[in-house]
Amino acid sequence: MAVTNLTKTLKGKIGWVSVSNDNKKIIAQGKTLRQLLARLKHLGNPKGFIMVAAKDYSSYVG
Amino acid sequence: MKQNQFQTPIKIWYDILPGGPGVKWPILKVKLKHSETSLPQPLIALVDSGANKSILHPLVAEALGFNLEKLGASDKGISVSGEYKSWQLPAIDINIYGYDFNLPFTVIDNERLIWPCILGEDSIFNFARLDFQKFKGYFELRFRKDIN
Repeated sequence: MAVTNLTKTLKGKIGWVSVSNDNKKIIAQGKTLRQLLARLKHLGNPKGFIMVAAKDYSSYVG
Repeated sequence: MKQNQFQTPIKIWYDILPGGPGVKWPILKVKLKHSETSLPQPLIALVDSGANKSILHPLVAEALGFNLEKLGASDKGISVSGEYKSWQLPAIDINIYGYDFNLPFTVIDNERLIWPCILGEDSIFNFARLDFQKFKGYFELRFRKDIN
């Protein structure tokens, strides 16, 4: 195991996404979380994890 | 607290996300449930010692069954970007790598928040000892045995 780089997987994606557990594929996406959840339900709720796909996280300060 | 009062350490590798070169983020995957509603997959949650309160994205709160318009008057908070409106949610069940907790998250009025969930000082930092070794690419979680 090592540091995970999601840059390639998330490239060009904006909105809510479900990412496969191997971090390599986008399983489903939606402009809103509600849309994403509907798509996941349609796919039979496959395994993965949910996140927001943004263009640039580096400027976040919290 | 003595060393043997913690669970076995869990090693979590940092994640690199789009944006500035090589910025590494301390992220956990958490399962959320409220009453009979649970999300079908874990969400990513930023571990943020600079956050006094643990935050849920408003759309996540909505997906868990909360109607934000019925939460009553909002509170005001201060962040780096200025003031924000927020609401305190009733406790939500959260599972972090097999450990269950019950947390009263804060929802902030910003649908542009890039994190579905932020774990701050009132949550993960109370439940566990965290050792950040960013120079090695990972951090370790040791959950307290006295509360879990």
